[in-house]
Order: sequence, then structure tokens, then C-alpha cells
Amino acid sequence: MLTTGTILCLAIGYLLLLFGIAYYADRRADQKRSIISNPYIYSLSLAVYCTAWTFYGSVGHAAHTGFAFLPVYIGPTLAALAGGIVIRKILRISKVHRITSIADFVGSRYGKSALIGGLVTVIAVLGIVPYIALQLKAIAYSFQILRWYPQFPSPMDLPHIPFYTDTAFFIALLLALFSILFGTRHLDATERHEGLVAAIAFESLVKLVAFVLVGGVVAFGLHKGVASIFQSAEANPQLKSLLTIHAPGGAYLAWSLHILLSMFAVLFLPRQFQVLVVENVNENHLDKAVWLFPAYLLLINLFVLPIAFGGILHFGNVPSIEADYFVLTLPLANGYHNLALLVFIGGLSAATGMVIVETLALATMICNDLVMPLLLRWPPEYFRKQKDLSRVLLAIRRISIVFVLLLGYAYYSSFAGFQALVSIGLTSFAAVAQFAPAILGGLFWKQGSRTGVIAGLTLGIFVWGYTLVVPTVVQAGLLPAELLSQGPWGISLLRPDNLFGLSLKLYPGDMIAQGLFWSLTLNTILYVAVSLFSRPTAIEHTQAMLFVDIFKYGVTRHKSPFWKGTASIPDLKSILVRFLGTERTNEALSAYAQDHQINWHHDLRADPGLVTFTEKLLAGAIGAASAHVMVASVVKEEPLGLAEVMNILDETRQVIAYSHELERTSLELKAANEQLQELDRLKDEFISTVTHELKTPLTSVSALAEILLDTPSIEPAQRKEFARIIVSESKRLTRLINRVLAFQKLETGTMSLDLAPVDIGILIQEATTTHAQMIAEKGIELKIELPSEPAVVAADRDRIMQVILNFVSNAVKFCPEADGRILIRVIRSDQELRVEIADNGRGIAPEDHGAIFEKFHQLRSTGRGRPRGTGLGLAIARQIIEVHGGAIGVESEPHQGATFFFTLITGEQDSSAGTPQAQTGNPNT
Amino acid sequence: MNQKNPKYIRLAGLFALGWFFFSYPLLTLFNTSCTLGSIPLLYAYLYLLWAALIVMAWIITRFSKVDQAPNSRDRSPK
Repeated sequence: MLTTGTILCLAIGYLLLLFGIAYYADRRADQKRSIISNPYIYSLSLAVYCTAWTFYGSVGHAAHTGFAFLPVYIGPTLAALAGGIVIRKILRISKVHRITSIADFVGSRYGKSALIGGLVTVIAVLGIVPYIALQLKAIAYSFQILRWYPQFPSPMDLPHIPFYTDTAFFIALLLALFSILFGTRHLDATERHEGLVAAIAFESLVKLVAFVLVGGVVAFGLHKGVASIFQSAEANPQLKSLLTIHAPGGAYLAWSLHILLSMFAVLFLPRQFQVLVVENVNENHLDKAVWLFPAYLLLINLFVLPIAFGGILHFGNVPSIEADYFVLTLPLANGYHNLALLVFIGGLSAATGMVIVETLALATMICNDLVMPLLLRWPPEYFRKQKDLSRVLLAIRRISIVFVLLLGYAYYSSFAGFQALVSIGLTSFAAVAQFAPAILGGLFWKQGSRTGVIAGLTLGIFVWGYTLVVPTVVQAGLLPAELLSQGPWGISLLRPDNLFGLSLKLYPGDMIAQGLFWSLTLNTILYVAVSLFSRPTAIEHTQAMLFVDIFKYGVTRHKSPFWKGTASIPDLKSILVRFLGTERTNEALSAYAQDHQINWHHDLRADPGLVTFTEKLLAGAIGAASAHVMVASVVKEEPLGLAEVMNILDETRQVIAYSHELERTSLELKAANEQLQELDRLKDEFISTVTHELKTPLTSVSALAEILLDTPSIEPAQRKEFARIIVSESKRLTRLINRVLAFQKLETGTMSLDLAPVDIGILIQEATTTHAQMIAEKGIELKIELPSEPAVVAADRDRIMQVILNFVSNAVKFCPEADGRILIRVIRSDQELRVEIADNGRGIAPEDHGAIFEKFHQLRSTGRGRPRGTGLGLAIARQIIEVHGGAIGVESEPHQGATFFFTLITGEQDSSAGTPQAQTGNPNT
Repeated sequence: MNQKNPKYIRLAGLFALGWFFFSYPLLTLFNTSCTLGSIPLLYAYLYLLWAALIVMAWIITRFSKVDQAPNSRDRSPK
């Protein structure tokens, strides 16, 4: 028999030891000699996951349902494995944005929304107060068991103890004191509490040792090893049924749902977020925690079944509320009183650790995401004028801690007697699991929107309340029992524990699986659907990008690339002083100044970097939403420049990048298309040229043949001359056809000239003879002036002939009907031979002098609708002359006639033969 | 350090593997009244699988050669 005094002394002594550890760790932290900055302490602190529910409840759960307690620990194991991706991302985001609670995280992600932060806080408080009550109940109950053993106190007796004599009440007050002392020592921008973490890690160690020890004693002291317990269980008809899974189908899905539930819980329970993210010292500690934390869970669960089965074997079939305390009653029943005391301390550790961290986390959320936004929005003048709000803030936190604990106590003393530990814990899990779509979606899906979260969360928590809380309330007798048995208004499809007729039970009486299924499914569907149909605001978009792409943008800690604004430094400073106090503000600002080489005396305007820094610093103290509001009140936001606007929306940026790509591709396509069009044009041009060039000799041939046909009396000499011309023109035609086929070579620069000494004078004679008929018909006076000696150059005879013919026919064409005159001159100089063909026609305006040698350009008719010919002849002429290395041009004034000329190099024939060929490479330029 | 760190991808793979082995229909294979050294097969399977996952996670984090993140926790502005 243990006396009340012994138990109380031990309990109080243990709590004082915790105070001592926390105090020591805090002092070490102040001296910058942290004792918690290692992965082992980090992993142990994560084990705050194992509460009194684990310590006592697992055994009770196992005693009645067999394997059903396991998902609660398998889930976190799997979550730890996924942690490399998920937790690390949450960690980085929270560090960069100084996020200090799960409510802050969700609110900040969805556009620094105070509404969402508040909603998450309310849900967390609703879901977790019963869980805190559960811890208080466990403490109180284990105390009663120790005191009254072998009498087993009825759980219904507990609430009837007046609070001033209730151990649970005083423990609650002590824990509130602890949380206040070590959780709210000062306002910390990073919200880290080394003393608290050290105490929690120590508690994790104590509960593990106590549980493993009692397990070892039960397995090896009371029985002949684990195997022998299972053998006995095999022989026990009640336990035999627990060794396998029975209800097929639904049970397996329910099993997976329970694992999923615990995965979410271990990530999103406020206390888990606190130790996992907020109290994390170094991201790399996660690497060890990934296997250390699961190893802890495995170890603490190793003896759950042996103790549970050992308990049933010893005590027979007892109600689950008694099975919950087998850990305590088994040693007591076998006379191990000291072991029972150690177990009590272990249970106390599990319960107090959870209560301390959970109340602190909830208090931070209540303060930053519920109270502060309200204070800042509807401010009594008092808050506006306060110089130093940091004391007010701390007071709010402290009051919140006491408030949460008293709420927990109130719940415990009113309801906790009705439920076994397990159902309370799992119901809380299901409440925080509602955050999963918003958080996981927020981490990886930029389109997830504020309205989507509000809609999803609201529906999710409503369904949670209906499927999981209502049945409890019914069981407590506060609502009519028909609600459960027949459904509201007799509609059985709406039965809360069997919604829409879905039956998912891991064990008889399991409501969690179907409750979680409906609440989480509907929550997710609504979140996704509303997000898809909503338009995010700019700040939502920015936050979405900053969160989802944290590893891209999160490197520079104080600079957001998506925001541009300035403020006066005194303004910013006064805000900081109000919430952080003068000392901390100066510390933080001078650290920033040192990092960024800023001289406060010279710079009065804060750049966007400092503004962002201020906001994040504030966010650590009062939450992202409130910090945003505060800083926005003094910041003059500059209109964003084009570049910034481009940066703001990643989507836009991607689209822009994409459209650049498109633009480039389309430019390439356009160029290719132009090239094709050019080729097409060249082909057309080629055909025109061909027909044109073929027409000229053909015209001569047919004209002469006509004369011969029409004029039988023609003189033989003349006939012979005509026939000779016909033959020569025909030959030229043949040659032309061959050349024309090679015309493209000219275009592509692969033409080769057939150079030979050519007497230009003879060519001119031949050309005029060809056109003699036309000249005679128009009554044109033709004059040819040739140099005294033969004008011989190295040239391609046919091509030069082509040029001369073209010039002559043009001259004939444009000579006036009466009094037409053509003068052909060949002028020799040292280097070149110049051939001029002048007419007295309309002349050409100077601006057209260049154009008429361009292909097609001169096709346009310039005078009175009469086309001046195909004009291709001149273009070809130019190419031919240029290929020969000569020059071509026209001298003319309107109504003064025109003089077309070209020059050919006469120099040394050999080299001139080479030079033109070399120039054929680029005839068009 | 980024998300594409092979260590974390491997851990994610281990997660998928764990989820698969902890679910239907794999569980049905072990849901028999057989025992493994007098321990019921289902429990033996669950605990051994659990332990195996932990050991594999240890191996992955211990032996994946990847760059370490700088100790980036900002401790100064308190």
C-alpha cells in the first residue's frame, strides 16, 4: 500500500526535477551552449507524440481489439520516411517565414489569411481540449489507482471530487506554471524554447524506460517470456480471436485509414508541429530522426501485447477502462510496488510532456491567430497608443495557457468519465487530420486557394463533429439515443456512426474509420473543387509560390523577390519595439545592419529587404497575418515595375517563358516560311525570266520569217541575210534554253562564265541588226560610235549579247513615235570598256534609277498605266554585268531621255577571267 | 540542398514500399493462425516489417552521400 504522501511527494519531486532541467537548459541556451542541439534530443522530443494514451491506452486498446493499436505507431513511422520530402519542406518554409504554429502555417500559405489562421486555431482547440482532458484524466486516475489499490475506483467517481481537492486540478495548475515559465519567458522571434525541449526529451526517456521495464517484468518476471504469453493467449478463447484480423474487406481499408490518420496526426498536431518544426535547431537533425523516432515507437510498443494479454490472463475479462491501466495494476497485483511507482512517473511523464507542449502550441495559436488579429482590427485606442506591446502579448499568451488548461480540466471533469482513452485520442487525431488537404495541397499545389481551404475545412470539421463527436455526446446521454440507432428524423442513412450506410470498422465499435473517411474525403473534394474555381488574389499567389517553390526562393532569407515597398526606418522600428521590446528590437536590427552594411544614421528609408525582415521578425511574435497588417500600416507600397510584375506571378512567368519559347519558334517558322516564299518567288521570277528571254529571239525569228513569207520579191542577198539571222537567232535560242536551264545557278551563285575574247562592236552590230526591223518601223535614227580599234574584252559572248539586246530593245521601245533617236557608243579607257545606249524617250526619274535594276520593282508601271515591260531583262543584265565584274547603270532626267550604260574590265584578260568568277558567289548584293 | 536529393527520394521510395507491405492485400497473406516460434504470424510480420523499415531508413540516411544543409537556423534575433 502506497500512501498518498509518498505518491504526491514523488509526483511533485519529479515535476520539480523537470523545472530544474528546463532551467538548466535555458541557461545553457542563453550562454549559447545549447544542450538540445543534437539529433538525439530532437528525436526524443518528437516522442512527445507518445502520451498517456500510448502509455496506458495502448494496452487497453490491445487487450480488447488486438492489433488495432498498431496503426497509431505505424503511421508516424511511414510519415517519418516521407519526412525527407514533406517535413523538410515544412521546416524550410517555417524557418524562412518564421512560422510558429500550424495555424500560422496554413494562414500564411493562403495569403496571410487571418480568417484561416483563426479557423485552424478554433478547430485545433476544439479537437485537442478533450485530448488534454484525457491526459489529466490519466494522471488523476493513475493516482487514484495507486492510492486505493486493490480497490478499483470507478471512473464515474472522478468528476465528483471537488476541484480544490483534485490532484488533476493542481497538476494542471503546475503544468500551466511550467508552460508559462519556460514557454513564455520572453517574446522570441523564433519561438524556440530550449528548456522546454530539454524537459520533454527527458520525459520521453523516462516514459520509455518505465514502459520497457514494466513490459520486461511482465514478460519475463510474471511469465516465461513473450512466447509463453502468446501460447497462453492461444489457449484463451477470448484472446485467440485477437490474434488475427476478422472482419474482412472493410477492416483492411479501416486499417489503412487508421495508418493515414496517424500519419497526419504526427505531422499536424499542434504539439508535433511545435517540436518537429518550431523547436528544430538544425534541418539535418531530421536525418537521424527519420529512423530514431520510429525506433523509439517500435521500442515503446514492443511489450504492449504481452502486457495486454498478461493483464487479461491475470484479471480475466475486465471493462476497457480497467484494461487501460494494466501497466499499473499488473505490477501492483504482483507486489511490485516500486515498479508501480516508476510506471506512475512514466505515465506522468507522458501526460505532462504532452500537456506542456500542447498548451504552449495552442496558446501561441490563440494569441497570434485569434486574439491579435482581433485586437489589431477592432482596436481600442489603448492598443494603438501603447509603446510597448510585448508585455501585453506575453500576458495574452500566459492567459491563453491557463485558459487552455482550465478548458481541458473543465472537459475532463464534465465528460471524460465516459470514454476510454483511445476514442478521445483518435477523435482529436481526426480533427487535426482535417488540416491535411490544406497543408499538403499548400505545399505542392500552387492553385490551392484560400476559399478552397475555408470551404474544405468548414465542411470537414462539420462532418467530423457529426460522425465522431455526436455519437460520444449521445453515449453521454446528452442527446437522444434514437439519433444513433435510427438516425435523425428516422433517416437511417444519416446515422452519425454509419453515415450513408458505410461500414468501415477496424474493430467492433470503431467509428473513427468511417468518420475520417467521410470528413477527409468531403474536405478534400471541396478544397480541390473550390480552389479550381476560385481566382486567387495577388498575395495568395505570391505566398503560394513562396511556399511551393521554397527551395527556389527560400535561399535569401529576408528578401522576397515579389514585393516592393519602402517605409521609414523609425516607423518600422517603433512597430518592432511595440511588440518585441526595445532591447530585442535593437539586437535584431543591429544584426541585420551588420549583415547588410547599413548605416542607420544615413539611411532613413528601409528597403524592401528590411521591410520583409521586419515583417518576418514580427510574424514570429504575433503571427504572419497580424504582422502583415501591422507592417502594411506603415509601408508605402511602390507600384511594381514591369520587371517585378513579371516576377510576381510564377504562373505568368512560366507562361511568359513559354511564350518566349513560342515566339522564338514562331520566328523560326516565320523565317523558314519567308525563305520558302523567297524560293517560290525566285521560281516565279525564274519562269518569267525564261519566257521573257526566250521571247526576244523568237520574236526576231518569227518577224524575219514573216517578212520572207510575205515578201516573195525580196532580194536574194537580203533573203540570205535574213536566213542567216534566223539561223543564228535559233542557235541563240538553243543556247539560251541551255543557259536558262542553268539560270538558277546564276541565282544561287554557282554560275560559271564561258569567257572568251569578244568584240563588243560586232555584238552591237548584231544586236542592232536583230532589231533593225523595229527600228525601221518606228523611224528611229540609229547612230553607233565605235572606237577605232576593235573593242575586245574577255566576256561571255551570249550573256553580254543578252545585255546589249535588252538595252537596245528598251531604247527602241521608249523612243518617241516621231523623231526617235538612239545613240550607241563604246568608250575605251585604260581599265575598262564603257558601252552606252542613249535614247530620247521619256526618261527615268532619279529616284527610280536604282529600282529599275531590281527584280520586280521595276515591274510596276510608272507612267499613265502603261507598263514599261517585264523589267526582268534589266535585272538579269545587272547580274550578268556584275558577274563579269563590271558596273551597270542609267543616267537620265525625266523627259530628257535615258542613257543606259555598262562597263567591262579590259585589264589583263587572264586575271579578269578569274576575278568575275570569284564574284559570282554573291551576285545580288 | 533541394528536393531532388537522392536520399529523400530513396526515403520516399521506402515510404511507398512500407505503405504497400502494411496494406491489403499483403496483410491477408499473414492473417492466419500460424505462428512463428509461437508468436502469431500476423504480429511477427508487422513487427519485423516495422523493424526492417527502420533499419533500411538508417541505411539510407547513413550511407547516401549527399551534400549537407548548412546549419541555417538563425539564432541571433531573439
